Amino acid sequence: MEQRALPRGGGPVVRLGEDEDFHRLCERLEAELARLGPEVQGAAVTLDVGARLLSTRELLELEAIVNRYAGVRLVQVIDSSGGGAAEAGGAADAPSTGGAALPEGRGSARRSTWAGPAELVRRTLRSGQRVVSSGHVVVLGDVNSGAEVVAAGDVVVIGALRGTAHAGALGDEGAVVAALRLEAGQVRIGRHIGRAPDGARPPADPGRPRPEVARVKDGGIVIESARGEA
Amino acid sequence: MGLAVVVTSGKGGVGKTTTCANVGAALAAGGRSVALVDADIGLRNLDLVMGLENRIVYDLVDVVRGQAKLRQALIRDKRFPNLQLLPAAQTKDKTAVTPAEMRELVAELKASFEYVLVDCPAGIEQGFANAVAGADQAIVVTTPEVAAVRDADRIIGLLEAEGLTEPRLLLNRLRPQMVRRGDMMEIEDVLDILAIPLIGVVPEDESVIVTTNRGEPAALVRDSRAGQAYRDVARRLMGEDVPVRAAEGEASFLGRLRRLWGT
Repeated sequence: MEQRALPRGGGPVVRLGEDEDFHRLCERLEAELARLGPEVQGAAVTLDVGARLLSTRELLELEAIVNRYAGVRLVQVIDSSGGGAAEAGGAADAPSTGGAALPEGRGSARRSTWAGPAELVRRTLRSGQRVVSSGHVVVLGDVNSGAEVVAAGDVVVIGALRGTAHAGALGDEGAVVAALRLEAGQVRIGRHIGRAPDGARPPADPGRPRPEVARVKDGGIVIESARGEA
Repeated sequence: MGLAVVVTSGKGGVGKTTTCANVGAALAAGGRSVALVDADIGLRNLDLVMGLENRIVYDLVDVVRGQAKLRQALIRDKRFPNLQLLPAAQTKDKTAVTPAEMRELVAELKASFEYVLVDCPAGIEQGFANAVAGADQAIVVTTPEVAAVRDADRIIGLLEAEGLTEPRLLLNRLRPQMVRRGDMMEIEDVLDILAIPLIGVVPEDESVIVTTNRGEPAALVRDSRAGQAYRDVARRLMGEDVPVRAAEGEASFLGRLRRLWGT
């Protein structure tokens, strides 16, 4: 694809080679930010990583590098491999919660321990599009079959979830996946993968959404009605 | 300045080329000047469906490389002088042209035609990037099958990334009787997933196969149901407000469509 999604906010776009190894890529980013110097003060930086697929961990590292520069925040990581864009910090302009430790691999089976920022994705994610976030993700729209949302925290879809959602992707098993219409064939939380039974139920009546929440309970993923959620 | 519309789908075999030929023919029959561009380089088809294969001398790649002038390569339709085809090259592949070259070519066509319809190849690689370059609007063709719908969804996302944010959907080869029996996806199911406006619903119609093989678009056959649907699509493309026609005895089908269009 020659033309990519346009960066938001008009801030500088840092293009990073897609063939380099990740370590080199981090060095390049540091160098670029240092070179831009005062120009990036208070700016919303967009990273263009070409056809590279970033893991959540890599995304967090890149965000950490950007955050080291005063007043700079990462707004968007463009990843052309999916034709879509993974946005960071869309809703939360505030710097991420100071010193919030990443959730540990052995998460409790209670409430999500993740206190990071939430991102708002105000569109439908279509097949092949992917959002990766170091916080929670709220999608105002549908997540269609073949689309992917990966979050360190919770995934909330104000619409139909038909694609893949991975909450607590860094190991937080207290994370949840919630949707107005939970129609996904598979839900992932932490290290768990829950799959709809074969011969799955018929799709819900679009007129009457049934909000549901998927969470880890007794070592497996269970789906419950969202009613009565605090 | 004309309007460039790319006809695309992601999945192959859902009816992009047939749609191009029929909508193009219907626009031309309505008095508009139309250029059809076959962007499926290496798998040339549109010339066959239009019945113009014998007249090809130069092709799109020749024009881009400066080996032929645009007007030398354009083939005038047998039926309508205001309908012309720019055929694809058959001996090259998708990498023979770039999106920048296509953009220039489409701009040149828009200067002398009211409508430029670009027939996009299947897939999401360079052929797609070439076909959408220079397009002002997009028609996404799908059939009521899960695989075709998912591919259409992918394509809609890619079109958005290319700045074509308002594509319209052509639902092709719908079989109302199967839908009624619950054996085929309903229009609502497809629209629920794709969430873009409809530009038309074309019923499955054997006459399309017959006319396509004869190189004679069904849109020019007066009593063809699919042909009628394609004529309606052309009129909607021209900005007319065309109500949905009842396929014989499909009262409930029509009722649902009315609701979808809000008429």
